[in-house]
Amino acid sequence: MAYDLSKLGILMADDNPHMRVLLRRILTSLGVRNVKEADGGEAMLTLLRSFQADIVFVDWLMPGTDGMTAVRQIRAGEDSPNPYVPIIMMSGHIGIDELLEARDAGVNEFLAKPLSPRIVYDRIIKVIEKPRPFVKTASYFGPCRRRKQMRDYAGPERRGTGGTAAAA
Amino acid sequence: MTIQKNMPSSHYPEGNQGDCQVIETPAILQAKVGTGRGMNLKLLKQAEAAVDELKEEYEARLCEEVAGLAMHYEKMKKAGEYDLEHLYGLSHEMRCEGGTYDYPLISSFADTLCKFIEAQSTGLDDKGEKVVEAHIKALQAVSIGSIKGDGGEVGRSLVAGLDDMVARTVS
Repeated sequence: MAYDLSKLGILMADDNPHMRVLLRRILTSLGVRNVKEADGGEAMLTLLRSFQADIVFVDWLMPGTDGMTAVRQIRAGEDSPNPYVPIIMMSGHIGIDELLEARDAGVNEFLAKPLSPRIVYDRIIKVIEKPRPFVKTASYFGPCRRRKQMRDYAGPERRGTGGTAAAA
Repeated sequence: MTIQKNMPSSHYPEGNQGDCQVIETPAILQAKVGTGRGMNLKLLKQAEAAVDELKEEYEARLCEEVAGLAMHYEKMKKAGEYDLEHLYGLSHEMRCEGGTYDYPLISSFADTLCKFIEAQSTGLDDKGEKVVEAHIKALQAVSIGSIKGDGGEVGRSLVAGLDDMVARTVS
């Protein structure tokens, strides 16, 4: 049985209009009905105040407020309207440094351009099927960066005793 | 050249960070999409067909975009002043789109061109100009010849040749 994506609200930000057309086409073909577009990070942050997004797709390299800055605003901004929203970062430029930087900013999934319908669909399925709890420390707020459960881990516990809470 | 990312890399130390709060978030997405598992192949095919419909439009503008890159480069060369950020921006967009529309050579060539430009701190010297011009010629060959896929043996050797040229010039 397939997921019904028709009730999802998706917000995308990319400065390239052709890329926005492409992503919208893919999303609507997959059944998403509610798609909003922004042509930059600032516009995306503004839209996020009035649009209840279930997933955000954001391009990294954009003039003005770039994708990474926007992600940090969403996750850690004092007046962020939706700090827990799943974020899928898109970029044509990826290496291990970029992946680590995105992870440490609170990105849920990374999507390398050029896009394909399969890879876009895969990332949506991942955020649906593999939700991660959020972690708050003095230096990080975002989805848990530990993707694997290491049951036989014998090293020191580095997470202190902050406990568990439910999101407001 | 430095590509602006507005914030420095943030590699947090992996040592003891004191208190760490784990916050369980409500399963809002799951509630909205219902039960299911994995991809629906029918929907995926539908999305692939929708992308296919954009291919013609992409091919029409690809030649224009490559011509635009060549024109901007020639103008800069004539003026003796290179706006590397602008050249990078044009190449970056090509890198991001080619592969989607069955033009992976466009993405490959534009990718090595981006990497080369990133490694330049100031303008372009004679060697640098040769590297950029070789990339532009390769992009023109693919766009004018509508060469899809990996371009066979010629395409693969061109990718390797440009990679090698960039590696030798940058190191």
